[in-house]
Amino acid sequence: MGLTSDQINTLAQLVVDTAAAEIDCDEFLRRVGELAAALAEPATSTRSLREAAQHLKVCPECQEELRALLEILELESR
Amino acid sequence: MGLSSTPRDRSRIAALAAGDAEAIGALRSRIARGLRAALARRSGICEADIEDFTQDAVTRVLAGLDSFRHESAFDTWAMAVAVRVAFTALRRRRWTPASVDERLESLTRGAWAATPESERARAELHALLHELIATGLTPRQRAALLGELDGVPQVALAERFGVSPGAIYKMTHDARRKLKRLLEARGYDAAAIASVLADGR
Repeated sequence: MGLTSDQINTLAQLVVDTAAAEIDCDEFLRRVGELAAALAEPATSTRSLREAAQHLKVCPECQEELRALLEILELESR
Repeated sequence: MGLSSTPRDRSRIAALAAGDAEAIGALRSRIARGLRAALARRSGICEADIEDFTQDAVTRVLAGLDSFRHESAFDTWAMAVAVRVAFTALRRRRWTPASVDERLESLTRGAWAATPESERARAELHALLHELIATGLTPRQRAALLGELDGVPQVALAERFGVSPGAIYKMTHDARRKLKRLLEARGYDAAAIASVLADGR
């Protein structure tokens, strides 16, 4: 079997979201605390955050980890 | 947790860097509590897993204190490191080298699912993507991109190819950039692709 139709659509969207320069997952990890805090509280958009947000568009593993991190922060803030 | 590190964070970091047992113990407790909460709904996770992930995460946080950017609360960053450690271990656990090989073989050699004829524009884009993946990417770029798209974790692909997860990310990024360039050369810029995708929704 190859890819499903949905996976091909996802790939097409990933290609659209691809930037010429992207940070990788290790660099995302260095910035994710900043991103998580900015999502929880109003903050100005910095280049660092924009690059982290762009990485999220193309990296499902970092999306999964951010969801888990936000869940932990939410539980701890209660 | 605030937007940036605090003087209290800085004193804790100094204590951790100095090997202060109380500071390390508090970090361990906080990470264990967070991981327990994050993994509570996942099946197949036992308390021994939480302890292992916590120990690995504490080690990684202590080794990476210099890379903390002080632009978030220290606890937020430390918890992000812990989540990375735990999720990477869980992803690795789900995939053996043999299962990665089998999956990549299937993805790179198999036929793609047919798109209904009623979705002609999509069918054309799918066929073109198929062609460009087959002809425009290196075998490794093709395997890494399709594997990642199919849910094979970066860590499993990295072990399969004998490279770092960062190298896998670079491989898939290069592959996406190449596909973007090749698609543009065939008349599919970002707006055209977005339009095709939106039509089918």
